[in-house]
Amino acid sequence: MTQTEGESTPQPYEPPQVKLLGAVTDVTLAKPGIFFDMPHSAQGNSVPPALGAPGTVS
Amino acid sequence: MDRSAELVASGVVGEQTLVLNVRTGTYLTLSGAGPRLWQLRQTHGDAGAVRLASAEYGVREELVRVDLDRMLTLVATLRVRPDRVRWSPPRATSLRRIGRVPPRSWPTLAGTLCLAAAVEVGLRRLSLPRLAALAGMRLVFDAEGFPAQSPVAGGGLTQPQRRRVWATDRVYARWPFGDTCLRRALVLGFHLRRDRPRLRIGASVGLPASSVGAPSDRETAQIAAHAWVETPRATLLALHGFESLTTPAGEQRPS
Repeated sequence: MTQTEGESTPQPYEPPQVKLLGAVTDVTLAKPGIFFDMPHSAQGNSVPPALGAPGTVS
Repeated sequence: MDRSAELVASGVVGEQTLVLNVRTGTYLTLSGAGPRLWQLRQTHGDAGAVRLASAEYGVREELVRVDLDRMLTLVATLRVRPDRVRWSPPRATSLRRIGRVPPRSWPTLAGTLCLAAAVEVGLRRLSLPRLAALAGMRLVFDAEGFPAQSPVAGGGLTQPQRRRVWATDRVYARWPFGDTCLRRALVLGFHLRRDRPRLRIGASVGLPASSVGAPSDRETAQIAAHAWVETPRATLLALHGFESLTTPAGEQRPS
């Protein structure tokens, strides 16, 4: 097994920097539309229910 | 060091470390040695982070200590300058559509409208943990829950709860101050408060620019934050691909 040069070279130290991204009200705004997973759904939480499925609203 | 920097949740989003200061209500990203220092202090504390980072980078501990102190102070104190309230007047077509709502739903709609107005004021006046608590929610930052694929227990939302969810959707589809998931989540949390809902905030990368803030900024546009609600009955506003921000304590209590 060979070891590449990059793996053994420590990263140079750069002073930590903080960037202001925005206010919570401005950045937290993904819009999925309202839907909710029905209990015992085979898809669990991962898949949005189909349009018009029980328990969903447009 | 400034311990108020503990009032934050964070997550690794793509190649960036995203930090949410829930007290000041600001999102921040770290660069340079910041992400590594942040990671180290979460598991080893401040002193341990200084010692380990000093050894890793081959620099003096005193230098790392000063830089870490400065970084934590910035995280704790940086704020977005208050902006003028932006709003768009509702269109005439929106008002006509509201007129088509069946009279029996008017009380629910009116109540949700008042609630949305209260949330709007709260977002400008209160810290997020305090506002969530007033809405009957717990602001939770741990690795559990959506999208952990855990089965949803319980019998689903009741009919009155569904009506309130519908009303929330109707109100925010025409809300003049902006339709965002955080606003919706806070109103939904209040509607479902008897189920002891939990408010989660997560982040992701790679969403369309329309889903994120400041789309003109390329770096910013790669990060999207999302708020959703969990109850024993259902997960509302679920959106695949978002992972909850976390804190070592797992929960932010109102102060």
